[in-house]
Amino acid sequence: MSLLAVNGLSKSFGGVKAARDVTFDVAAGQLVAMIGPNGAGKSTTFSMVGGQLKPDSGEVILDGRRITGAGPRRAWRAGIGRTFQVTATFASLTVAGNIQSALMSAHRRLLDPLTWAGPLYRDEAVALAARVGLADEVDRPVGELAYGDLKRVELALALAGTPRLLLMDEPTAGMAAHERVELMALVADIARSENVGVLFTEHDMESVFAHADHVLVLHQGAIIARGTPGEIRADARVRAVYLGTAA
Amino acid sequence: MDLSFLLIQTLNGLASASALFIAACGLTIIFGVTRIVNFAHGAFYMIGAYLGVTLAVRFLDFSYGAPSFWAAIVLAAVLTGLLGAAMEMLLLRRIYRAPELFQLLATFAVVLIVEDAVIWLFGAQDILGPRAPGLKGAVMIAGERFPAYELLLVAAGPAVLAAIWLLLNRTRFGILVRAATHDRQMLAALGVNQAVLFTATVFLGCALAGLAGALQVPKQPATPHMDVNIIAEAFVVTVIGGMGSVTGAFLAAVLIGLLQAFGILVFPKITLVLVFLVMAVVLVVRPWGLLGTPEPEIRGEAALLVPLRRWDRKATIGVAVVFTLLALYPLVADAFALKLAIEAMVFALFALSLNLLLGHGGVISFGHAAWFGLGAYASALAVRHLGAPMELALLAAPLGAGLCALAAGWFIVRLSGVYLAMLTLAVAQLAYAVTFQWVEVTGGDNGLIGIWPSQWASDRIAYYYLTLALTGIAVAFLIRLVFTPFGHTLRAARDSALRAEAIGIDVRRQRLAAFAIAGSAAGLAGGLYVFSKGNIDPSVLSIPTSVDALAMALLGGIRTVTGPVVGAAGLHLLKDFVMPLTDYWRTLLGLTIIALVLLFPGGIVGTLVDFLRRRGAGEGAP
Amino acid sequence: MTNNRVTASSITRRTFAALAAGVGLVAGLGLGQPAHAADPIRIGELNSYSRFAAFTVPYRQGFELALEEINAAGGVDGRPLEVISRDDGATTGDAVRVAEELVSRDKVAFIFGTFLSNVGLAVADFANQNKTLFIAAEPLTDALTMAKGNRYTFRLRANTWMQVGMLVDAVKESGAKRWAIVAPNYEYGQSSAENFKQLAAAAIPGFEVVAEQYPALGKIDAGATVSALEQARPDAIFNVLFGGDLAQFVREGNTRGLFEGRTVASLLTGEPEWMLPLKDEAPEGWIVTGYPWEQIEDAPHKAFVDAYQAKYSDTPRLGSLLGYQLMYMIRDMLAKAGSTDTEAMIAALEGLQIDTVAGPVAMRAADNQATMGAWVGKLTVHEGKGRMVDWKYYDGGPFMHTEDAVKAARQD
Ligand SMILES: Nc1ncnc2c1ncn2[C@@H]1O[C@H](COP(=O)(O)OP(=O)(O)OP(=O)(O)O)[C@@H](O)[C@H]1O
Ligand SMILES: [Mg+2]
Repeated sequence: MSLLAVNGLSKSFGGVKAARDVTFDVAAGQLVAMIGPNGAGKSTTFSMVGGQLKPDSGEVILDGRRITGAGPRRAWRAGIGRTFQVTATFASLTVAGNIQSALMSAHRRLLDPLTWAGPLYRDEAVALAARVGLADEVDRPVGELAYGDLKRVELALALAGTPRLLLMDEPTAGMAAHERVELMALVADIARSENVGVLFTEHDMESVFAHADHVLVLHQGAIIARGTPGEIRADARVRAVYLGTAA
Repeated sequence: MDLSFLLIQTLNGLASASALFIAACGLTIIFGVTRIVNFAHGAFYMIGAYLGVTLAVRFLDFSYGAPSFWAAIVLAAVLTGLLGAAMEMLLLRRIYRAPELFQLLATFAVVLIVEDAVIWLFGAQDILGPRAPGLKGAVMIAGERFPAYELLLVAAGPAVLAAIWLLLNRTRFGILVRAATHDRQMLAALGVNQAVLFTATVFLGCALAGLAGALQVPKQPATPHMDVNIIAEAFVVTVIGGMGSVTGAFLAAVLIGLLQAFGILVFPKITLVLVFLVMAVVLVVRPWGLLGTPEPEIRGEAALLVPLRRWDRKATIGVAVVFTLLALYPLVADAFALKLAIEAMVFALFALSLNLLLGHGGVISFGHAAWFGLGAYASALAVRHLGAPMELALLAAPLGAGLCALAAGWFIVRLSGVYLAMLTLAVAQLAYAVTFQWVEVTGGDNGLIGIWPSQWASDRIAYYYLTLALTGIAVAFLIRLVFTPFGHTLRAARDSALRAEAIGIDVRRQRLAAFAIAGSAAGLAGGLYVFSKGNIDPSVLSIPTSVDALAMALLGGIRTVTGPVVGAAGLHLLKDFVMPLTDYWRTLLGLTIIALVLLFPGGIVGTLVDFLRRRGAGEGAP
Repeated sequence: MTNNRVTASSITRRTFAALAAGVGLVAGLGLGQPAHAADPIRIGELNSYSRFAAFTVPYRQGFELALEEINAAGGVDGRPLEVISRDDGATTGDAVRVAEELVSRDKVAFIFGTFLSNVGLAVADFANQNKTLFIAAEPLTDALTMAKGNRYTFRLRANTWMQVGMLVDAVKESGAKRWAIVAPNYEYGQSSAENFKQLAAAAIPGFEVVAEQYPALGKIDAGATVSALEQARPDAIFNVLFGGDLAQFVREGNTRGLFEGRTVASLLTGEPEWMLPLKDEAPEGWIVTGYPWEQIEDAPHKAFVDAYQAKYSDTPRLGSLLGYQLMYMIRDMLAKAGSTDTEAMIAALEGLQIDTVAGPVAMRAADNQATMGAWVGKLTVHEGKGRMVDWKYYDGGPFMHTEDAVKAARQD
C-alpha cells in the first residue's frame, strides 16, 4: 500500500478552480515531482495535503488513515513535514532556535513553563542544521539569512518531526545551481535511506528529471499527465501546455 | 406602555442613532481606505462641538436667524475636517505601514493632546450652546410633544447616509474610496495619487465627526470629556456594522440607538453592559460585522522581529543587584518614596504581563486594564462581601483575573490583527461597564473603599516588602517564562503562525495560555494595587489604564525581556514628577507616545541593546 | 490649573522634593525641618478643578480671598497659612493618591476639599486609616457623617439629609403625591433620593414614587430620560441632577413640557454655578436650594461680596462663599487648637462655634456635622438670567439627624 493516497481533491477560490479531482499516490522512499505552469494549482494541492487548506471534496490518506481537512497540526503529527513556496520561518529565532521549536513540538513540551529552552534539544538541532548545510549558521537569527539558506532551514524544520512524507514546495528556489544539485541529492538520500516519501514541485526541470521517480503534470488544476521522467519528457501534451511555455 | 410612548421612545432612539451614525461613519470610511482605526475620532467630534458652540454664538450675535446657525455648523465641520487632514499629513502618513499597535497608540496620543488643547483653548467649564433658531419648539406627535430639533436629527442620519452613498457611487473620488476599501490591487492599477486620496478621505471622515459634534450643540453642552463617551460608542457601531461599511454603520447605529432608548426602560441598570456585550458577541460570531468583509491581508510585524538578547550571567547578576537595591531601599526612603516604589513595582508587573502578550505573543491587547481591574475588584469584593483577610483576597486577584482572562481569551485568540485588538477593547469596556453599573455589588461609580491590608502588613515598610516579594516572584516567573519551551514556541508562533502550525504548534492554545498567565499576573498587580490605596473604582478599568500599560511596555521596548519593567518604573516616576508641575501631563504623554512610535519603536531598552550590539559588532571588526 | 500654590516661595522646595522622591534617592532628607514661629502652616487641599470647574474655581477663589485676609492680619499665632492645592481627578483612586501625596510628601498638617460625594467618602476613609484630619468641602452625602463617618472627618455644609429636609418642608403643602425622582447614579444622587423618599413619606400623606431614573453622572440621555418620566404622569418631580446633566435635562424637559403643571423640587439648582449656564432657560417655578447672593443684605455678607467682586471682577458662586467660610473655620480651629497636632485640631473642631458671613454656625461633636443652613426659594427668569425669589434661609440645626439616629448609624 502506498504511503500517501490522494483521491479526487478539488478546491475553488470564488470562481477559480485551483484543483480539480486531483488523484495520485506517493510510496515510501519514492520521490514524486509535481510540475505545471504558474497558477496550475500545485501549492493549493500541497496545502490540502499538508492541512493548511480544507478541500472542497476528495480525501487525503496517509498510511491508511484519513487526514482530510484535519488541519496542519494533525498532518504534522501524522508524519507530514513540509516547506513553503514563500518561506515561513521564525525570523527572530536563530537557526538552532527554529529547529528547537520543532523539536519541542515533536516532544510535546510546548506548554512547559519551567525548563530552560536554550540547551533543550540543542544538540539534535545542531546536528540537523549541519545535515542541511547550515553548520556555520547555527547561532544566526534566520532573519539575517540569504533566501537559499532559509529554504534549508525550512527543510530542517520539516525533518525535525522525523516525517514519513516530505512536502517540498519549490525547495531550491533562490539557490545557486550547485547548491540545488547538492540539496536535491540530500533529499534523495534522505528519501532512500530513511524510507521517506517526497512530493515536491520545482520549476527547474533539470532537478525534476534528475531526481524524480515519478512526475505529475498539473494544468489548470487538473492532472493532465503522469509517468516516469522519460515518459513526461516525451509527452506531446505536456510539451504543448508546459514545457513550451516554460522554455 | 402605550403606543404613543413607544413611538416617542423610538424617535428618541433614532435621534441618538443619527448622531451616532454621523460620528461613526467617518470612522468607518477612514478605516476602509487607510486601514487605520482612528482613536482620535472622538476628539474630532469634540472639536466639532466646541467650534460649533463658539461659531454659533458669534454668528447668532452678528445676525440672529437660522442661516447664521447652520453656517456655523457647516463651518465647524469643515474646520474640523481640515484639522483631520493636518493630522493625516503630519502623523498618519508616517505610520500606514506600521504595525496596528503603533497606529492605535499614535491616534490615541492625538486624543491626549486634543483633550489638553481643548481645555487650554476653551476652559474646563461646560459650554452650553444656543438652540437652533426656528427649531426651539416641539411638534405634537401622537399627543406628545417632541422637540423639533430632534425630529431634524432623526432625518439627518438618513440624509447623511444618502449623501455619502451618492458621493461614493457617483463621483470619481467615491470610486477610488470604494476601490481602496474593497480591492487594494485595483487601486494600485488605477494609478491614483494615494497621498491625496488618503488626505481627502481623512478630511471627509473628520469633517463628519465634526458635523456630528456640532449638531449636538443645541442638545448638550460641549465638555472636555465628551470624546470618551462617543469614541467607545462609535467603535461599537463601526465594529457591529462592519469596519469599512457605511450602510453597516447606519444599521448598527439604529440598533444601538434603539437598544439604549428601550434599554433604559427594560434594563435601566445595564444599558452600557448591553452595548458592549452586543459588540463582543458580534466580534466573536462574525468578526467582520453585519455588512463588512473579512480582511484578507494580514499585516506582518516583520520590522519588529528582532532577536531577543540571550539571557546570560550578566543579566542574572543585573537582576540580583536591582533586587538587592530594592530590598535595601526602605533604609533610605521615606513613606512617600516607598509608596511611589510600591506603585512602580505594581505597574512594572502590570506592563510586563502585558508584554507577554504584546511582545512575545504578538497579540495586541488593547484592553489589558480589564485584568488589572478585575484582579483589583476580585480582591476588593472578597474583602467587602466575603470578609476575606488580605492574604486570601490577594489570592483571589490572580485567580479571578486569570479565570476571566482564560474565558475571554478563548474567544479573543480566534481573531487576529485589528479585530483582535477591537475585541480586547470590547471585553475591557464590558468589564468596565459591569463594575460601573452593577451598583449593588461593586458600588458603581462610588467604588469600594476601606480595602486595607491586614494588621501585619499595614505598616508601609511591611507592605513594601510584601509587594517586593510578590511582584518579584511574578516578575521573575514572567522573565523566566520567556526562556522556557513555552515562551520560545510562543515567540515562534508570533513570528509565523503558518510555520508554527505546520510543525504542530497550536498557536491558539499557546496564546490562550499566555492570556491566562498574563491575566493572572496583571490581576495580582491589581490586587496589590488596591491594598496599597485602600480603594478601587471603575476608572481603573477604563481605556487610559490600558493605554498606560501599552505606553510603559512601548517605552521600555516590547521586543525586550526586561524593557517593560524599566518603562513602567520610568513612566510612573516621570508622571509623579511631572504631574504636580504642569497641567499638560496628557500632552506630554501623548508626545512621548508619538516620539516612540515614530522615532524609537524599539523603546529605551530595545534601543540600548541595539546600540550595544552594534558597538560590540564594531569592536569585533578589524 | 490643576496645581495652585498660594505661597509661591515654596515652589522650588517642592520641585526639589518631587525630584528627590522621583529619583528615589534622597527623598525626605530636606523636608522635616523643625517648625519656626514664622514658618507657614501647611495645609493640603484637593478638588475637582478640571472636571467641575464651575463650582471649584469660584470655591478656590473664595478660600484664597479668605487666606489673603487671614495672612494679612497676621495668620494664626504669627504663622501664615499656606495651602497646597491639587486636582483630585474626580475619581476615588486619583483623589486618594493625591491625598496621600499631600500628607506624606508635602507634609501638610491636614487636608480639606473634594467635590463628589464618592470621592469625599474615599478620602474620608483614607483619613481614618492614616489618622489625618479631613474637612470635606462639597461632598454632601449624609453617609460622610453618618454610616461611614469617622472621627477624622468633618463637614461644614448642610448635607443631603438636611437640604432635602428643607426642600420637603418647602413643598409639602403643594398637594403633590405622585412623585418622580431623577438623580445621578452615584453616592450623592443615591443618598439624596433615599433621603427624599424617607423625609417625603413622613411629611406628605399619601406620598408615592411613580418613577425613578438614575442616569450615570455626566452621561445622561436626556430625551429618553424625560420621556420615561413623562410616561409615569407624576404630579411632581424631585431632581438631583446638576452641571451638564442638568442643562440637558432642563432643555429637553422644557421643550417637551415635562415641568408644566408640575411641582419640581430640585437640589442645588438655585446655586449660581448651576443656574447661570441655563441663562434664560432656567426652569421657572422650580423649588430649589441655592444662593441668592445679590439679594442678601446683611453687612458681613455684603462686605464679602464686595471684596470678592473687587478682587476677581466676577460675581460670587455658592462655591465662593463656601471656600471663604471654610478658610475662616480653619483659622478658628487652628487658633483654638494652638498646634497642628491632629488630636488637638479634632478637639478644637468638636463643638467649635464660628461666625460666618452667613451667620453663626456650630460644629456638632456627635457627627462632626456643622449646623450651616441653606437658602430655599423659587426660580424665575429675570433679565435673561435665573433668579431665586420668595427665598428664605433655613438654619441647619433643626434639620440635622437626631443624636440618636447618629449614634445608631455611626460605627465609631
Ligand atoms: N487563497 C487564495 N485565494 C484566492 N485564490 C487563490 C488562493 N490561493 C491560490 N489561488 C488561486 O488558485 C490558483 C492556483 O494557485 P496555486 O498557488 O496553487 O498555483 P501554483 O501552481 O502553486 O503556482 P506557482 O507556480 O506560481 O506557485 C491560482 O489561480 C491562484 O490565483
Ligand atoms: Mg505555488
